[in-house]
Amino acid sequence: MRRHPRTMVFAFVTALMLATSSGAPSRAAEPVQVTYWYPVDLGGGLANLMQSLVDDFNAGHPDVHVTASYTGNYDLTFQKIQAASLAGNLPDIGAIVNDHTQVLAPAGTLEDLDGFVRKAGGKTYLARFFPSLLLNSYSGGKLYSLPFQRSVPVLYYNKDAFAKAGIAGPPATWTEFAADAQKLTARNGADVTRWGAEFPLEAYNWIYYALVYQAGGDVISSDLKHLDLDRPAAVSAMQYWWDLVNKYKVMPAYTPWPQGSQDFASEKTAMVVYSSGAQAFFRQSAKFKWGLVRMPRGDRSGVAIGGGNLVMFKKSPAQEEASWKFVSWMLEPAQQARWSARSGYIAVVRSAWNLPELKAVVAEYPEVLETVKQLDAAYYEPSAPNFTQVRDALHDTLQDILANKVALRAGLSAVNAKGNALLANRP
Amino acid sequence: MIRRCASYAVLVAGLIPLLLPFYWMALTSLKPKREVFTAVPQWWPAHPAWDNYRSAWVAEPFAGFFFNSIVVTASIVALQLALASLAAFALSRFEFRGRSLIFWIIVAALIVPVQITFIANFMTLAHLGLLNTYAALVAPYAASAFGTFLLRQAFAAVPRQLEDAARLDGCSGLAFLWHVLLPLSRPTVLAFALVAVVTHWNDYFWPLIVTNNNAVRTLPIGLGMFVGQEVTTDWNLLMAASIFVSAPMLLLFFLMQRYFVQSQLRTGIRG
Repeated sequence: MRRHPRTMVFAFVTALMLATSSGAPSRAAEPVQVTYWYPVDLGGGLANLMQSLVDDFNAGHPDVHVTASYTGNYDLTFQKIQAASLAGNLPDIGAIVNDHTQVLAPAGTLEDLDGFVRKAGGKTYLARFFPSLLLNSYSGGKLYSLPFQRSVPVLYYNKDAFAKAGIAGPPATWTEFAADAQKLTARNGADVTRWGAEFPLEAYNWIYYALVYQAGGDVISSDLKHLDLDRPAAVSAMQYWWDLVNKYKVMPAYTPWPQGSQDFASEKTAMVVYSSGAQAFFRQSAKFKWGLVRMPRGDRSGVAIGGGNLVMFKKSPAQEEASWKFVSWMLEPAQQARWSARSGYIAVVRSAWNLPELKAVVAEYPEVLETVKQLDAAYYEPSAPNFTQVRDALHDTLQDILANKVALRAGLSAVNAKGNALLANRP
Repeated sequence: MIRRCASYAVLVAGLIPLLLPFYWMALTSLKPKREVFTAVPQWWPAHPAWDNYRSAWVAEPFAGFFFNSIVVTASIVALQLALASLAAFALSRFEFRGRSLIFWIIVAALIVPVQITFIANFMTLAHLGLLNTYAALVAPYAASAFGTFLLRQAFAAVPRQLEDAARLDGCSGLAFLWHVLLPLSRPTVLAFALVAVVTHWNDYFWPLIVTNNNAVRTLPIGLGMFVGQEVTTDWNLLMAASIFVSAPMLLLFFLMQRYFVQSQLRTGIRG
C-alpha cells in the first residue's frame, strides 16, 4: 500500500537536513520539495503556461523543486484548501482569490509574509507593486498575501456601433454613459435586439462595488466591522443601476457573468462592463472594432480590485524559506511580464511594463494601458472573515431590487442589517 | 403507408431536440474562435478548424487522463457489482436475524446526499495516506447502496421453486448466485452498471479534491481546465475535448443497447 508521498519526502528531506547540518554545505543536497496549488480562471491554456513557469523555476533552482497542481476555479481551490486544512495536508503555496485572504488569515492557516518582505527590502520591496493591489493583502495589520494575477472591471464598447449611432467617443461620466446607452439600444417594436449596455453580475458583486466607489462611498468600514450599504453613496449607486434597467430600459435586469462577454462578442449588447482579463477573448472572438476605457466616473472614478494573490501556508522554517524563493521569483518583473502578456492579467509589478514582452503588447494594443490607469483609482475589494455569506445575501438583494421584487431602500437596509449581524458573528 | 410515414414524422420530430445539442457540440468543436459567438447562429462552420481537436488533445495530458478514467471507472463498477451482488444475495435468499434492519439501513443510506460524506471520506483517506492514489478515487464508491437495493429487489423476484430445483441439481450457494440469480437479473445488472459507469466517468468534484497530480487524475478534470470563471470558456476546444471524452460512453451505449433489447425480450418471453 502506498504511503503519502509528500509526508515521506518531507521526512526524507528533514532527515537529510539533520544529517548535513553539522558538516559543510552538501553540494548534492536533495532539493526541498514544495507544493503549489493554482486555479485557472481565465481559460485559454493557462495551466500549460503556469507549468512552463514552474519548470523554468525548477531548472534555475537546484535547491528547490516545485510541484504545481491545477485545482479548478477559485471557489473549488478554496474548498480544496478547506478540506486539506482539516486533514492537515495543506500545500506550501496557493494562488487564491484575493478576498479569501481575509477568511484564511484569521483562521490561522496562512503564514504572514512580513519577515520575508523585510529581508527582501521591506518598504522598498513592496514599492514595486501598484499600491492599490496591496489593499487586500493585509489582515490584522500583517501582510498575508501578495498580488499575482490581477484584474479590474473596465468598460468595453463596440466602436462600429458607436460610429453608426453618431457617438464620437466612449462615455467618461455616468450621465454620458446613460445617454450613450439610450442611443445604442436597438429595438424592433417592443423587443430589444441589442442592449445599450450590460452590467453582468457574478458572485462577487464586482460592478456594484465599483458603482458605490464611484458614488464616493464605501461598501464596508475600514475596520471591517460594519457595512455601509444604507448610506447615500450605496443608495445612489443602486439607484443609477436601477434607472438604467427600469427607467431608461437600456440594460437587462439580470445578466449572468459568463453571458456578458458572450453577449458583447455576439453584438447583443453595445457596451459591457467586464474583467480586464477578457481582452484576449475579445481579440479572438469579436468580428467588429471595439475599445476599452476605464469605467465612467460618478462623483469620482473607482472600482474594486479583483483577481488572485499568492499565499504561503504555515510550515517549517526551511520549507517556508524554499516556498518564498518561488513566490518572490514569480513576482519578479520578468515572470510578471511573461504571465501578463500571455494571460491578459495585469502585471502587478510596475517595472514589468518596461520590459520588451509587455512593451510589444502595449504597442499592438495601446488600450491595455487603460487597465493600468484604472489601478490609480482602485479600492479595497470588500471582504471580511464572514463575508462570503454577506456577499451572497447582497447578490440576491441586487437581483431582487433590479427585478422590482423589493423596494430599493428597503432592500439595501435589510441586507445591511443582515450583513452586520453576520459580520458581528465573526469566528 | 401513410400511417407509417406519419409515425416516422413523429419520431423524427422527437429526435431533433434530442440530437440538436450533440450537433451543436460537434459544430462548435469545428469552429474557429471568431465563429463561436455570432449575432446570427451559424449552422455550418464557414472555415472548419479540424486543428481544434489536436489543440485540445495536446492542451492537457489527455492520454494519461483516459487511462486513469478507464482504470478508476472499471475498478469502481467491478467492486460495486461484486459487493452489491453478494450483499443482495444475502439479503434476498438467506434468513438471519436483523436482515430487514440491515436492508432498511441500506435504503436509508440512499437518502444521504453524497456531498455529506465528502469531508469524512477525505479525512479518512488523508489519515490512511491514500490521497493522490487510485484508491482515493475508488474506495469511497466501492459499496453502492443503490446497487444493493436494486439487485436485492431483482433477486427477491426469483421464485423460491427455482432455488429448490437448483439445489436438487447440486447448484447451491455462490454457484446459485452465479449461474441462476445473476443471469436472470441481467437487465437490472446491466442497467445499474451503465448508470454507474456514466456517473463515475463524469465525476469531477471528488477526483479534483483528492488528487493533486496528473498521474492519477481523470478526464473531467482535463475538461475543467478549459472552463474559465472570470471571462469565459474556450468553447470550441472544450467541445472538441468533450467529443473525445464522451465518445467511449456513446460507444458503450450503442453496444449495450443491443443487450438491453435482447435481455428485455428474453425476460418478456419467460415472464
